[in-house]
Amino acid sequence: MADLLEVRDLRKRYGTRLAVDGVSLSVRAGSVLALLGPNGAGKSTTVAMISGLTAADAGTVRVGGVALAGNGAACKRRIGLVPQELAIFEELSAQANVELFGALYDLPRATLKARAAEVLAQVGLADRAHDKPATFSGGMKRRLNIACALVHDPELILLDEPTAGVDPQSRNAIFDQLEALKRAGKALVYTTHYMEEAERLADRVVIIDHGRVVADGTLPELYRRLPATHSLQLDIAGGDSTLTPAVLQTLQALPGVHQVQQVGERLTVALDDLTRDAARVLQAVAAAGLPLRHFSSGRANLEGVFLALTGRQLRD
Amino acid sequence: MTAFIALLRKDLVLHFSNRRAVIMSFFAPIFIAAFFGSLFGGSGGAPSGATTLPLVRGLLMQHVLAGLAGGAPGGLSGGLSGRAAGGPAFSAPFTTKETASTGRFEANYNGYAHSFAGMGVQFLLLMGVDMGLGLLLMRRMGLWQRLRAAPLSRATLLGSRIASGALITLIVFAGVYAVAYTAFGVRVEGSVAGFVAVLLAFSLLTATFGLLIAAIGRTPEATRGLAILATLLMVMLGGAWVPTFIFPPWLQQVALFVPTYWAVEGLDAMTWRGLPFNAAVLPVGLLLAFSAAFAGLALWRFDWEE
Repeated sequence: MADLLEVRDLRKRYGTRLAVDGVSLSVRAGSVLALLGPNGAGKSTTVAMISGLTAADAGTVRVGGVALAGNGAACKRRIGLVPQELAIFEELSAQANVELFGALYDLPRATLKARAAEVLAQVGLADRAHDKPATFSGGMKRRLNIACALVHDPELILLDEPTAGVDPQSRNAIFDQLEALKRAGKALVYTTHYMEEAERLADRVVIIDHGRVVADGTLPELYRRLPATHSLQLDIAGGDSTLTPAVLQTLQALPGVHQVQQVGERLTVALDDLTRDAARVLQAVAAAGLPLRHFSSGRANLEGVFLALTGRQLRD
Repeated sequence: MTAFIALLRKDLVLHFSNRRAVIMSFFAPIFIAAFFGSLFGGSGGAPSGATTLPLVRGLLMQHVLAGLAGGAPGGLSGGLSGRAAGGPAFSAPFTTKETASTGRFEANYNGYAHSFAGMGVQFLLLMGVDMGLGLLLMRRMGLWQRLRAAPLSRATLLGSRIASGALITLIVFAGVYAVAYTAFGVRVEGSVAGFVAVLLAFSLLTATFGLLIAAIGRTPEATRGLAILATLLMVMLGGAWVPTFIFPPWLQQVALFVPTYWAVEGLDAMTWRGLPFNAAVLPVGLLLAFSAAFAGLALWRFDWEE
């Protein structure tokens, strides 16, 4: 299947600051691409250039094979943008908001009402269609924000941090709706700085930092960049007094162990395979007579990938 | 065209459903114009109010006395200095006659006519400021971004904004004058067509002024104070508060370069001064020229980048 969105080598400079530095990405119909990065990484600027709001200094954007440059209106008809802010008119009813944004895409009046009712039902706001958003909860406003971008039935949907400030229940409702859009064959670009969102929704993740793509791939592909895909955390009483260099060397030498890190009483052991290697580590700890208080396991995540690639936390 | 009409209708609905905006643009000018109108003669048919004539007479007296003291023959200046030293009182070398200053013999002066013109101009320009600030708020809320993400030309986006601003101004001003007509006896003694032309031109001016504010402003907070100050200076210099004929001569010359002067002048000419359509041509032409300048400046300065 051909890519619905192709972005090649986008660049944007604001004064002396290079906001976007050679970003390339692509998305296919029926898939979700997560654009993951900390605040100020260049995600929103990239989305602004893809949606035609900001002119790129260099690079190309093609929507359905059509270049955005010179064909802005045609490309924009195929794109639905969900801005980071709640871009809805609080004084207009939910229905009036959706109809207004539908009218901007020249939807015939006859189909506009039906289409507005359809998308409001899609986001679970059919029963509040005639209410003003001023009376809505934050999650409902977010869903209306999404509905306004769907009314013209776009093929490509750009969502710029669409769950900002939303409670977990509403967030799950939004995820369900986005997954339904994906099943309906839409291509979604989802910017976020929450790795959990990217992990749940994305088929492909592009990690961006300081305006540059630092990684691009499916989740398994990105996890393979880490030295180990699992970890075991052990809390050992006594810390430095019991965790001698000799003990650490013994653990490091075990098969399947990639790395052993000690911080105070916490020992983190990076493993290839948790089910295969964890028992071996625990046996070694018991054999060394270490006073084990507690242990837990973890698996690779995007936070770890970002840390490994940039040396910084995702939310620094 | 669907998009243009949708945007136009949206602005109308938003404005007229906003209670504060309606109060400020419609009721405030009526209340204040009623107050000033009663002070400046009401609708009695001649400017014989308690304030107007003494004010004019006093100013006239001051001018004459100043002239006499500066270059008049010795006897008169002696008389003046004698008065200052407690000598004989100096009497005015003229008498005043109360005459309605209208362009047509049969047209009646109405103190409310000028105050409704002045206050209407003032509060509608302030409404124009609010419209400009509204666009800045839309930028902040992502609404402008969303509108720009739609396949709309810049002409549609800004043109609909100008059209809605002008239409709202026209509707509100027409409403204000409807009250002035029914409750305060204000009449279009001159050309009705000229009156409508001045209202239309002023409506366009208000809309483009609002757009200019949106174009040069950065944030609503930083822009509001300066925009209101600029508006108040314009209405003050334009004779919206008090007629420009009581300004010193140099200030009267300055007033000619202020658009509000031509709005008030045009409305005065078509209402209580009872002048023909020809008298509306210059004010309308200049208001349109100012509108074009504001729109041109706004387009030049408008930031399309997000």
